[in-house]
Amino acid sequence: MAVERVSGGSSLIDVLDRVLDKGIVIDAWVRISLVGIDLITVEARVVVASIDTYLKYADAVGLTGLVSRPTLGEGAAEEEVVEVTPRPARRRR
Amino acid sequence: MSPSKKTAKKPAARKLATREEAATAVLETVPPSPTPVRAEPPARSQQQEGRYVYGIIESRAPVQFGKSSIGGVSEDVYTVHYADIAAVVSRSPVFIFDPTRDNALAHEHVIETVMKNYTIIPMAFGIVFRTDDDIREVLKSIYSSLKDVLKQMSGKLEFGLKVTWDRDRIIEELKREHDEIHRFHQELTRKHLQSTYFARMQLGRMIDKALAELAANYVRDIYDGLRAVCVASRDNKPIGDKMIMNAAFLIQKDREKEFDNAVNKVATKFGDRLNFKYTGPWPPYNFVNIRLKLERGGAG
Repeated sequence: MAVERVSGGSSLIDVLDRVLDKGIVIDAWVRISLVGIDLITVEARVVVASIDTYLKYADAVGLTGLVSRPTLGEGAAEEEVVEVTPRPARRRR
Repeated sequence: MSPSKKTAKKPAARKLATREEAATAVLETVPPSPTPVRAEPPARSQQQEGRYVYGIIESRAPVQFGKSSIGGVSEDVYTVHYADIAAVVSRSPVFIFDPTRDNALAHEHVIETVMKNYTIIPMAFGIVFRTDDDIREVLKSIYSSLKDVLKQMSGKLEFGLKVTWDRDRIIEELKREHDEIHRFHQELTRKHLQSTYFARMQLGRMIDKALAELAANYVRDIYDGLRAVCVASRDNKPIGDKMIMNAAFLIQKDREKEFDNAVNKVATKFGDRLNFKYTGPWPPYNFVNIRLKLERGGAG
């Protein structure tokens, strides 16, 4: 028998496999363009593009196949240029 | 001695000068920052202070989660609240973090700390907001979705399971034990000189097909052995040709031991034919997919 159990954080590959594109994701393209600019105080707001919870069993392999991640917004992001005009940061208390 | 007296006096004079300089500098600084500037390396103080976000939890009261070392600087991990939910954050420059080993592990480490007492919806790596107010704004705008997911993931943990085999060994076995492949292989070996490229290709295809069937059967057996002890499972694409299964399981927290036993039981069944590597507990990365995008809002 060969079972190796390791805690989450001790396996870098498994960490990267999860943290890079899973969980709550803000569209990377938008994120890059936003660096150095106010996220919300710019004329943009964050909305939910898609939300899924996968509370299903993976049935026999080949029947369900891979649950592909929705590519929502991917294509659109390239065309849709969210203009992020920096303006003086709003002073809020 | 007189030299030491001299040197003892000098620093005092210098100190005074520095204080005066500092006072001037403060007077010239406009406008004063609303948040007190904390002691930081000079390079960083030039950058805007942002908030690195690790995930979302349910909590009305402020919580501290020790330190984070993201970006190589130790910062307090605390919460930013909206109603009964909160973002787990630490101060950080507004910066695109590289997912280096240290950074990725720092991100994961904070999440693991939080998980000990809270259900956390993990944020993907590298998300930085400018201010606490911005975070509250986001929490507010996606509040109902977050509440729903938090409820669904409450008291649940994720485990990863990767199953590999020794592909070459299995192929040798197939050549010995798989009727069709055995016969074909024997034939090829016997008439070695006449064996054609085509015949070898055909053998390769037969082996690939047999391997795929065998893997599918094994994977089905593994799922069957674990289904009763998990809430849900997800089948990810295996990595490399030795891996036959790359799955994630969502487990009720109080059934972790049962799941552990089930994994061991299944692994025992396969003896040394299969290697099981399982990781966790993780927050439910594989069971939550929330994609946010920016939409142009009305001019405020």
